[in-house]
Amino acid sequence: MSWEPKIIVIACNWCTYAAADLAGSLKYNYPPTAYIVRVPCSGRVEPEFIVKALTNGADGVLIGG
Amino acid sequence: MGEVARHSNIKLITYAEVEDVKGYVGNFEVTIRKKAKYVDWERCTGCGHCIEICPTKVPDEFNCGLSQRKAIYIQFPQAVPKKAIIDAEKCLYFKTKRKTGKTVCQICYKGIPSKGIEGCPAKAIKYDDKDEYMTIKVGSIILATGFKVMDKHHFKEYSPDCPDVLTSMEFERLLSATGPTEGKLQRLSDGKKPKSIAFISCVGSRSKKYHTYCSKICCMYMLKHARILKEKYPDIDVYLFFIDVRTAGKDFEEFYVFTKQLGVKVIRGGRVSGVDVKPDGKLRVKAYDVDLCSPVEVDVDMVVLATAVEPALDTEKLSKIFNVSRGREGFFKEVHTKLYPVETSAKGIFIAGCAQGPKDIPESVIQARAASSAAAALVIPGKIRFEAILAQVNKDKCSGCGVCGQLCPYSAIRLESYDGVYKAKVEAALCSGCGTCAAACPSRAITFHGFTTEQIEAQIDALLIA
Repeated sequence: MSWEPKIIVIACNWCTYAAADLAGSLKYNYPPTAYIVRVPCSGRVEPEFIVKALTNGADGVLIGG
Repeated sequence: MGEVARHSNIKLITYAEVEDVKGYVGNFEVTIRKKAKYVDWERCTGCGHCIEICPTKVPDEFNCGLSQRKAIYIQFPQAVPKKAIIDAEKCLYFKTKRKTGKTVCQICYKGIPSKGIEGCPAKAIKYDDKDEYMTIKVGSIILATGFKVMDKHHFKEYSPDCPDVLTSMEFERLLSATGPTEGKLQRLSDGKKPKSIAFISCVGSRSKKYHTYCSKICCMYMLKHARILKEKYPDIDVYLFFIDVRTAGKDFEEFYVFTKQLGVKVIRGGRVSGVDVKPDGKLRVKAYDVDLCSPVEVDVDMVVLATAVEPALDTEKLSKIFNVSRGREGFFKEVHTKLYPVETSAKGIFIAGCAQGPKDIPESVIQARAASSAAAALVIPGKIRFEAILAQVNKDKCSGCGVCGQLCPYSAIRLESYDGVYKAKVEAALCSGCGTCAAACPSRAITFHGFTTEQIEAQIDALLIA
């Protein structure tokens, strides 16, 4: 199996998380290596979260808000 | 309106504007500017004597400028309260005073002694009146600021400068007993009674160029106008040009069928391409008839344009004062179309009527009742429940730098003195739970309940273990 990057998706509850939820109910596929962490707002994202994700082995971080 | 003014639990403040709103849900402090009226309303009886003797005539806004009013006037015949005001922009006394400092006219006050005409019998004229400010404390607010109709001059293809091309609002005034012709139907160009009238729908609505939305009320009021005309003047030919007829609503379709049976001619199809003024004064309406599958041209004596419903003029200003967001088209935005139709992004502020989007009277009444119930239900218990997801400051860690307060989009954080030392404090009623403050705090002094740093980091750790 080919390599797929691990992405931590930090998703705003109101838009990106709702969109991911909608993608699910519409039965759209997205890679199983995209891991979603829900936050109340993209404003909640601390720089430490990104550093932590990258040092713990994530290949990328996507912040949606 | 009269009933509202008499109600013991309602205080009606007219001829006034909201200047500022402070505070938050349950504890709003609203500053209201009561505009200078130059008439003492305690004394004014609304007799109309001053209006009769005033020499200055200006276009009457209530009649869409189709008739004239005086510089001292009562805004419209059913105004509540029925009291006079002076238009200081147009009044001869104020105009001359501004320009030369001299005092002239004053007819409304002194009358015309040489002709034996007296001034205001109630001695209510008050030239030195000034704007008054008042502050009231309220628990919740409802915005129901209505709409305006689009200006016809955007549509050069419909000959808007011709006096016989009217907007629906102008036509409504023309039919009214208190209108410019006292209800007599006539062309404004030559005063003759029109033999044929064309109504054009969707002028500025449902268009990529102007407004993409449907103004919703036009189809029905065009049918209403057609029905009034046909019942009162059966000899007039009425042409209704629709893109398509939208009569969704209780009994609306029946109204349409009934109106058609009166002999009104309905032309469905594309948009009307133009209205030309012919040398003999007639107006030629050019359109396409989808039922005939061919272009059509009709010569009529009068054209009525159903111009689009637009947000009222001050909607943008009000959205800033009340911190309420607006939608793409400029109307106030509800939190959720289906589940929270009268709530806004600002807690404790509700919306009703066309300020939220185009709608007819039954819908406005439904929404107004919903908004007033929601506003009352919120404040009557005296306590308000909040989501537990909010920020809390740890006083021992807070250095009082104030970064959080500047970043908070809801202005919920301010610095408060604890024995002379300033620390941040979150006002729970205003906090909407975004967590920006917690992310920004350099001292990590803000705990964001429900989404603590530890919780989020634990999630990231757990996801990356595999």
